[in-house]
Amino acid sequence: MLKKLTIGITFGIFTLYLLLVLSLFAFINPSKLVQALGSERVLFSVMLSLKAAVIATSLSMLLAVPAAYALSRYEFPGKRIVDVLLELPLVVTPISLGAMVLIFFQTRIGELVQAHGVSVVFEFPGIILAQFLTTVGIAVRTMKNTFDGISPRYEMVACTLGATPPWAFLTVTLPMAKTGMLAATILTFAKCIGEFGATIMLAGAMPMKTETLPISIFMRVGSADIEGMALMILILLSVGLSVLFVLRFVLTVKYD
Amino acid sequence: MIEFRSISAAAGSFRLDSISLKIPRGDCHVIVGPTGAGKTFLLETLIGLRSPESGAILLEGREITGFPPHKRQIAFVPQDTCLFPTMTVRDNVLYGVRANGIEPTEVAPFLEHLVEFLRIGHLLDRWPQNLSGGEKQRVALARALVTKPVLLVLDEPFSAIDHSFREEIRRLLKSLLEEFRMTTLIVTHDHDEAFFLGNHISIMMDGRILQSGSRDDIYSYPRSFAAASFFGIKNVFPGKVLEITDTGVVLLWESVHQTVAVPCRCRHKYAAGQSVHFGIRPEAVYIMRADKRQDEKKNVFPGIITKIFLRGKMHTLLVEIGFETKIQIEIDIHDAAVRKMGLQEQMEIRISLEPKWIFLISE
Repeated sequence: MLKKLTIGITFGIFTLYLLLVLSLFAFINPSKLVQALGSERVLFSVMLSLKAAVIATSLSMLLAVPAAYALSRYEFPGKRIVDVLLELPLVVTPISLGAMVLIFFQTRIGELVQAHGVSVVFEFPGIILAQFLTTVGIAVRTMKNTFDGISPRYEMVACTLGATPPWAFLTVTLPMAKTGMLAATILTFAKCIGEFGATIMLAGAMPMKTETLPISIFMRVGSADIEGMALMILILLSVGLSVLFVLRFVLTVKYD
Repeated sequence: MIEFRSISAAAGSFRLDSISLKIPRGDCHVIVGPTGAGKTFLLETLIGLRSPESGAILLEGREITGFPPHKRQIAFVPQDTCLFPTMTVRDNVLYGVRANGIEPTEVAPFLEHLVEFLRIGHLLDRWPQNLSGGEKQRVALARALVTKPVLLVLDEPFSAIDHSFREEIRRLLKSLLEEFRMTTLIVTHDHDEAFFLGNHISIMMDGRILQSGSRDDIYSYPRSFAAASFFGIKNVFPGKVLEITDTGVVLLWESVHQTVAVPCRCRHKYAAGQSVHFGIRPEAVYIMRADKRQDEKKNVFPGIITKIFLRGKMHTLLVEIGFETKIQIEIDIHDAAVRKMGLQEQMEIRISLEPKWIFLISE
């Protein structure tokens, strides 16, 4: 009974998503699809989305791994507050998060950063910053759960065998965290490639400049171009799924 | 030589209370105690995961109290072995060698000897996940020993091994420690394991060492109620010192109105009239054969077998002695002896408390 019910629910969810994807094809003309794939604007959007998502995902993971390790293994002042703040992207909507960054750049510190650092607002770095901010907390949370699941005794044993703590982390804990890292990377990348709210607040919607795939879809909604919108959604879906598939294939390692 | 000098440490409300211990080079010392005694806490302090509040740890005369774990030269094998699941057995075994910047070729002859001794040659290219409990334990021992540590520390080494393989691994570990003359510290809650492996044993309870000594001393002469109770010795009775002799003390066992002679080197600690407790292990109580006089036997009491618990190789007899007050004595006896003597419930027998196996508790 339970088996049938749970499998039924699973297929129900799958059918729901499948229906949504199939409905796209009602508005897609195959010849126009080929034409659109060759268009400069579509290619720009794909490349921009991929570039921004890869950089933002890498940045998120690069910082998430050590931060999550510290949260999982050590006790330090303010640890609880840091832990709660990691949920910020989940509590605050991406648009609000983007708005918060815009507000920050209106402050004196923000202006100083803009003047002496990289210019962010309405620029490519703005897309990366928007994607990074909406994903880094989630990446840290996922990686913390991973490290929590790995007994610190493995490192302890490695240290008694003569390994320094950083060496034990790199050679023992990190390889054991590979599956968790894969999950965190996939989640982060998926969030990055589909990120819209914070991106539009920070980088705006400028054709051939800050036009990521989600922004391109939004722009087509604005011009009531349903066919174009369906095409861009299909492309976003294909790009996202392909990258996730490759990631899963490359990072999955079996020990048997 | 490893030495603990009055080590005190705390974790929450639990305290290690002034632990002092010396383990000579090549000796196997076992700390035995119930769960929650602080054994693992003590090990963690020894390997450098916890800092003591006071006291010092010396390894071969060098103080290592403040050293990080990787500089202590103490190899640790936890109870679940913690083999690294992302490495093959070979890489697991060579982990310490590589971590210390040593070329594997430099340790090749020693490694070969170790691999052969522990019979893990056929496992080297396998993954830890596919090994049995006993195989994992052998690999973990090889991994710990290949770096030639000054001290080997084992935490409950057989707890994760099936009962049927436990004896085999125990024997292998004993021969291994003898073969490589490894200074070893083992913690366990299992008495049998402690007496099988340890040359010296310490009983630990509530963060304190209750008693330390040679295997035979600890086995036969627990010096406290807690120690006797931990070893499951129920034959502990109250008595009063009647007189101090040249070789020991004579006690009055008031409940049975009879004297009990106890040879005791530390007789000077006792005074006539002092209340003490005395005890004897259940297997040290001698059942006298009806067909023999055996006048040389001392501390002889008539009794009646009230219950026989059969349990395979060794059986437990409950024997009641005394006239007005009935005293129950537990006797462990081999199956063959029960059969040969034809022992049955309600049978009248005579028992002897062999003086040299009686221990005194002056608490």
